[in-house]
Amino acid sequence: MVGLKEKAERGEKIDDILIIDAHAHMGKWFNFPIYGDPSAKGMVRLMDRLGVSKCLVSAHLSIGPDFHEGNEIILKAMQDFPGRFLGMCTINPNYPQEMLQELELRFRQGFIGIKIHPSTHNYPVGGKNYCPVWEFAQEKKAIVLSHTWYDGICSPRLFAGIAEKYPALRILLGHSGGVYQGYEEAIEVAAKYENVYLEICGSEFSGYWLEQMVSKTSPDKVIYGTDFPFHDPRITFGRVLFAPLSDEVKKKILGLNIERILKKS
Amino acid sequence: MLGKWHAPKLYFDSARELLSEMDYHNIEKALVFHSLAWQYDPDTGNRKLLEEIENVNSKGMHERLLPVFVIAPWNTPSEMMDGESTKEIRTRAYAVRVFPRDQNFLFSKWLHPVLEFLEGIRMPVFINYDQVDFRDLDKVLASYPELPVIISNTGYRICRFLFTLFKKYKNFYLETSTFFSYEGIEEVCKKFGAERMVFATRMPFIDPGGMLARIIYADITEEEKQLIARGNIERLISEIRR
Repeated sequence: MVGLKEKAERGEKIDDILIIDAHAHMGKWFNFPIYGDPSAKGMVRLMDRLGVSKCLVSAHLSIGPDFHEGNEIILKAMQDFPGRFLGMCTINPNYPQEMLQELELRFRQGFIGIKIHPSTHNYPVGGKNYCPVWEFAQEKKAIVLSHTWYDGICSPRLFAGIAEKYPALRILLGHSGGVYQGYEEAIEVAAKYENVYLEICGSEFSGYWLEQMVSKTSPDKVIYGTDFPFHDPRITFGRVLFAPLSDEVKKKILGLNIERILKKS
Repeated sequence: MLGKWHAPKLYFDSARELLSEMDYHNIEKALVFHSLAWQYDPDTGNRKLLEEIENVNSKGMHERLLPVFVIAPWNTPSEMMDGESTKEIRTRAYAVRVFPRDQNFLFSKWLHPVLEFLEGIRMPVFINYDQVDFRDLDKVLASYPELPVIISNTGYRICRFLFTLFKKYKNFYLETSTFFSYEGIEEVCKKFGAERMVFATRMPFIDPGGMLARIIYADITEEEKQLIARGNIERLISEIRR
């Protein structure tokens, strides 16, 4: 049987295993042009080419200036491509009076999780405006994907208290802290709390850190994400396929882990 | 890059380990410089680089590692760059790297004797994106049209700078290691040609898997992939005037 690394070396579509991208966006971004088609249609074309069955997705517009309009874009993508996009409702804690209403609306519409971006919204993850989000997610047993970075706003260590207080919510540490100090913190938090997971996209990430995360937490804790179309998804795709890990572990990372978490939601 | 690093601990630091990574990823040759030449002293680091490459001198392994010298002006007591340095570069280097921001100089016409020398021998110059002001880079590319300048470690937010310079200058190239722009590689091929890119990994800060897959799965022709993977850098090396 041909292994995943060999398939990647040949540029083959990886269509015999489950691949779910747990960290994707949609649309354009202000400070650099995105040349590929960042619409749902364009994303599906590349997902099909690589063998990615679905994405957990939030709009660039939502993590930028307008979370409500961004969520509308995602709703349309979910309707146009059923089963390919799992909506992550983005909220902005700087609009506290609109958050719960937005969450309730979007979960009724079929969104399956919540996306927060403390850095672009410039609001610390420990701030009180996020409390209703944690409570909502706890009640729904929902996934919360947060952008994390090694800083004072959303460092992985800041999620420890939240994970402890809200054991039913499942926290995906987006980028796992983004830089090596962040990776180390993220590993520590994920190793300690059952409901914290390590999502792996980012410019500084590598197969080395993937191996560290698997060995220091568990192969069940590491989650594939790409930041598509912020980044070209073929980068993280290749990092996993070429990583010095067994195919069984790669399969968990690429899809089985997030599928298991989704089933519990 | 070879050598140790202040932080973080890199996932390898020796020539032997680099070769092992290259084997795992089917990479035949690599242009390589030394961390000490960047973060301690160019001359010491360049010497150390040559020693480390020589130390893997078995079964032709050292021929897979092609030395890249880090250069900085006024590193000798007497001249901006002395005769010994230029001779070493001419005879042994496959490219040079400059770190003007970290090593406190300007990559500009201030460096005229050095840039004139490098242009004269068609020596490729790598420079990291965060080491240069693009207005200076613009002027260097204009003033030294036969000097191949390769922008390096760019990230994915660079295209508005990058494409402007691609359009203006034929002697401007991109190494791909952190060029993660969604379909950015395809766009460069379409607008400016695959000839403008050279494959790179940024080992040992990150590993090659991501960029390998990016090229293998790119929506470009096999010929374009071959140019990016090896053809372009081989051509640039072949044009060096020893």
